[in-house]
Amino acid sequence: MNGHCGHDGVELPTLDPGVTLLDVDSSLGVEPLCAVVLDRLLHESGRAFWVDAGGHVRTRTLLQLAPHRRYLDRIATARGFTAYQHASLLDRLPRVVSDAAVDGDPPALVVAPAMDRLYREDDVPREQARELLVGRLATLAGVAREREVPVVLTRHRDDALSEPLAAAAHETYTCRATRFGPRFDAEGGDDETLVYHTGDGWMQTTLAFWREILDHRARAVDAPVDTAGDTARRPSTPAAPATPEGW
Amino acid sequence: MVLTIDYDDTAVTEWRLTSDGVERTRVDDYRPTMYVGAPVAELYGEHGGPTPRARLPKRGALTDALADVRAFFEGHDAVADLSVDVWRQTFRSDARPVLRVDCRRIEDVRAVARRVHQFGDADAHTCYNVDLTRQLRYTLETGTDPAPDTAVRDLRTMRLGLPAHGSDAAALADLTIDGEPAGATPRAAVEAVAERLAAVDPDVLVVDTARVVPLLFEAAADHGIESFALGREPGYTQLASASTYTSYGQVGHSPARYAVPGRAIIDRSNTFFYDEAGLDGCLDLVDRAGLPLQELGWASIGRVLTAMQIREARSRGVLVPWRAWRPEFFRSATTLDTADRGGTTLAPEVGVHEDVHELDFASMYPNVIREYNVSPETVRCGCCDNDRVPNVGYSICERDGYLPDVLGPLIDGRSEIKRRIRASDDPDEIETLEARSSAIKWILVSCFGYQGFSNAKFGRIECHESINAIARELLLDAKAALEAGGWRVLHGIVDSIWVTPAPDVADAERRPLDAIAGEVSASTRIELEYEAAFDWVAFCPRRGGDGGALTRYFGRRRGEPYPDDGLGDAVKTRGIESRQDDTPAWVARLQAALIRTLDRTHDAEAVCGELATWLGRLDDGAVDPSDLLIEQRVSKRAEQYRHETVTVAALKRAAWKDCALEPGQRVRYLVVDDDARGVGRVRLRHEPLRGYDTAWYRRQAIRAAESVLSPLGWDRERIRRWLSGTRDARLSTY
Repeated sequence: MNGHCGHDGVELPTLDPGVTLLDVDSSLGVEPLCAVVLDRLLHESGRAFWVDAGGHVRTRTLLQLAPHRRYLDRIATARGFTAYQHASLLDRLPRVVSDAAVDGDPPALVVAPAMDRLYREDDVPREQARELLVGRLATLAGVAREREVPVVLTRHRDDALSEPLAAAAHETYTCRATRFGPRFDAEGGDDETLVYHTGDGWMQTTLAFWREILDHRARAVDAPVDTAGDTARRPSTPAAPATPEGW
Repeated sequence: MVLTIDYDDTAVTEWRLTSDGVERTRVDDYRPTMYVGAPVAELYGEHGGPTPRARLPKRGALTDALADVRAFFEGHDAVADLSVDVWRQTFRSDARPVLRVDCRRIEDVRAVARRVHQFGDADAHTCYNVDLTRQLRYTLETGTDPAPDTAVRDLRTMRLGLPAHGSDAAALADLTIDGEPAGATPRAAVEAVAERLAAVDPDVLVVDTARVVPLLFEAAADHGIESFALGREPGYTQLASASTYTSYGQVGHSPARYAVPGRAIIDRSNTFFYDEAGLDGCLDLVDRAGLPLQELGWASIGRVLTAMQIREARSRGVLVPWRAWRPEFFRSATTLDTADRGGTTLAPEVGVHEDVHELDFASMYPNVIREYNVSPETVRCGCCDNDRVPNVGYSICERDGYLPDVLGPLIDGRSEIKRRIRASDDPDEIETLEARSSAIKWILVSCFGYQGFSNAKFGRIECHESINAIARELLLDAKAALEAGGWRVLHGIVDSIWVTPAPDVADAERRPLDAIAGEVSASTRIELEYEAAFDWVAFCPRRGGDGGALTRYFGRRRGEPYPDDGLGDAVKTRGIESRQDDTPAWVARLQAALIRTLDRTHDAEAVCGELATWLGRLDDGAVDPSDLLIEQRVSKRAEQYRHETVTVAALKRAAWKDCALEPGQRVRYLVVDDDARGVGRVRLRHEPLRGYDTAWYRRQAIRAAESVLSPLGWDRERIRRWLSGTRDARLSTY
């Protein structure tokens, strides 16, 4: 891997069945998580289930990153805006996953970003927050086990409340901003270090960066890539004011 | 019909109007009620989904889990009685037995609910009717009409004024009663209040701040005036402490709330509807919404809407959930992307356009709810197989939803009020009716957004998305119909659409707007009204970007005369500085003058000339500093702001001056030296105001001018160049 277009053979973390905690530098935004989800869909059939906490899911970002907008049809998402809603969604998840599997759409991945976030709000009594959160973590671990599917979590903050998330994860990846670009590391093993050399000014935006990598990976496995999509993303040209004569 | 209701330990007192005073009824056997129901998972979780099927034990009996809760609370101090009632726990489930808990005192309701959750897992039971406000609760549970009987006599009010920055007993020296100074000392003020209370016997106390309640009682105690009472009986109750809260990213401040026996208190620092609609409008809304006067006084729009929903729910046998457990359904990210788009806008064509007509869908969102049966329990109902919501394909139930029933009477009520306004020629009556209409309007315009609010008792985001999707389709239908009729659409936003005669269509070919509007109204089932004709409308470009700003424009209404000063109804403005709350009065007046100049001359340079005159007065120090005050709502604490803005300086100065402001409150300040550091940059309103920072206000003035001239292609650089050019020219003539 080197220089300007050196992402040949770039690998995103390979997800195994079970709970994976992904710790992403906040400066990197939601893109690394979106990239991991989309990458999984490039390589696996089936559906991603995205249980969102308070508007983390940005369909615009997913659309911009996805090699083809069709991938969004394969992401089933529901958002909790209170801890209570989030907890209900996770209660509902096993049935939703099971129903989809019966319909011929087995789960490829389950993702719960900022899993701990809503349980920190003022409307949840402290003693209940942990109980609700740990109960739903068990639900997710159960889905991972029974469906043999990867479950990816991220946490809003690293502290006592979110500690069970790390404990439940059989694998933890970090994604850090380095001067060479974003870099995934597997905790406790140095064989999984993945560095994207982005070189000198190759990368204008992280969006473009991830998009490039995903397109490349999609082509490598012959997954659909939308070649016409780029023009649609261009901003419109400004028009001169239409003010009539005499003004 | 009650004026107000007091709680006192285990008794309640009702106060009713009589022809010469009030009648007081003490009720000893009222017991506030809450309910405990099924586990969360049964209602919303694995067995939830579109139509939850709660498991039923044998007829009329509690489940084992609820029987355990019942046994646990047997003989509990807070509990007066335990029984079994049959209710629906959500709009989507059937009625079934729930545990009814009658509490001994109002304070016990929450305590019992908390104990329920400690007793089992946090989600082992759901609790209902826990957080109703106390007067609303009483009227609901006892079937009491929450409105005072003004047919008996009109309400008597008394106003108590107190400066915003006074917080201790000494401030009482500045107290006013109905606008007149009360007394030179706190003692004199207390005595004057007591005297006036005895003379007037008011039903409603309108106070600048509720802090005046403890202040008066404390001062009375300090000066040995033992008999002092602000209510119709001794004492007062603090209902809530002042608090700053964060709710899902929003910071708010709620001032402390107090109650006194037999009188309703309206706190001017903590009221929306009194400011908006006055006492008469509030009373009208008490009637419509069923929220007692004192609670309506401090209620937000959402709270009033919730009160109406609670009443409708109760009439349909549905309980009020305590916690917001109900989540949205899963859908594909593609559908979410379509659904999540928000209100529709057709990008405006930047610039000035002549001969423009505006058409609006009347009360679009509430009417969409009503005409298309959009309600939390009808959207994606799971029982009907249709795809009535365009683009996103959600089904809407064939059965009547409850939200249309809540909003219907408000929509009709407002139409009726508007009809009476048109029929009336009595200015006082018109003013009263306008206030009523405006109070209702706020509820109608908010009901849509409130559906998307996560903590709304009966809100639902898919409902919000459906309203949007339907509204978008209606706007596009209207656009197509207008274009087919020979009109060019210049701009459209949510429920309004602007057109001008299409230049490539001959006048004889063009169809009249009312004919097209009538057809659109008939086919969409929502009235498309002809709003106004404009001689011209100017659409502003987006600041620092391409294309038109969606909501920044101003237009000259045809045939509408100007008032002596300002714009009045002659010019409609949206999104520009003079519409914004935090724009200093002087800048707003300046902008109005510039728009008038533009209208008169159609000439950008003439506008710059007018601007130069105003800037000259600013430079000379001839502007009254109080016209330059900026008023802003505090959204966070000074130390939480990332940039050292003048607002931050004002907050720091307020803290330094011992009148620290909480997020949610408002700060008013003058910029005196933007280049200084920290608290020296600004002065607060109640400080002596002398000089101001000319350069800073000059920038604000030029910014306001830029909005006026931007549709003509001028930006602030060009304005500055013009200004310095004329200044140079002027200098060179000397």
